[in-house]
Amino acid sequence: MDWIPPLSEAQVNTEENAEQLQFGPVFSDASVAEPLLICEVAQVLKQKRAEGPAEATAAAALGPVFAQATEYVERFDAFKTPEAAKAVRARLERHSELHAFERAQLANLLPETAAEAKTVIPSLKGKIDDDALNVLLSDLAALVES
Amino acid sequence: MGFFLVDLKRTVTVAPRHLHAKIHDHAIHRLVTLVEGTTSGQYGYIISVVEVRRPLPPAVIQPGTGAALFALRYRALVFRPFVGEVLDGVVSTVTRHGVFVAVGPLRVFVSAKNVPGDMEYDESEQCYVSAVQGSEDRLEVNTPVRLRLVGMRRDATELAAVGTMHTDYLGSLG
Repeated sequence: MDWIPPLSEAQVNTEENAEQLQFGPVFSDASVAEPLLICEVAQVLKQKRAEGPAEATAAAALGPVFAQATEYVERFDAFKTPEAAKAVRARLERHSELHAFERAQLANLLPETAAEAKTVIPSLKGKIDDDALNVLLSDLAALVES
Repeated sequence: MGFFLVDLKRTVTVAPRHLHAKIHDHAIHRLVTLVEGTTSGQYGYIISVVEVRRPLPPAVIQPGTGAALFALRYRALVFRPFVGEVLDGVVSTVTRHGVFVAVGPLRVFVSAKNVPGDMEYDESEQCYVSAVQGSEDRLEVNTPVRLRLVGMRRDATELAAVGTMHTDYLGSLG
């Protein structure tokens, strides 16, 4: 029944750092955990709501965590349509040199310049040159629903 | 950001009175009610069960109670923040000591010394206002902001985080 294995002190404090792409034992494994873009989360939540019993009050009926996540996703989802979400994902997949987490962060934070991207996602430094990154960023910006 | 689809395991108990043709539906329903909306230090906020791996494994009968134990494997949508990550959020509370930012279900505290460097607390309006002349920049309730997580406490059932907006490209999203 105990589905949360106890964590050692060291695991809690030292092994995680998104700046160095350290995500602890569970989330480092790409076959187990897959980072999602906000626009993809929106699709998942929408589907869940559609399956729910009472459509009108669904978000609240599914509990506070679900409601807060829904509110958050609606507010920060830059790509409103499923088609745009697919296009963003396809564009990101062309950069296989980037970590899945970095790709998700690029689409979620939508930095305007390569310098900004490398400041908010420090692990990008040395992985991708500024020109390629700028092209990627402007392609992503072009997909944003205006 | 911080949203993941992750494969998880959970053993659920099905009481003997439910051991009938719809036992699998019941086991899945039980899983959903048990895990959705919960928080754990390791997996973060479990928002939704997306898919239960089928076929369900054979159940084991628990000696003594006669209940069936299903070791289910499922895929869930979770929100799991990491230290060092940059996140967008919405200011929920402003105090003299700092601001609280809601990032979905997670509340992040940004202390007054970690708000953007040019901002001062305005006692009368209860918000942080940029001291730069002519700047409209302010932090008040409902302002969208970008922050970096600098610390997190993870208990078995709770997450609490501290963030900063003190470096470049962080702060109010205008």
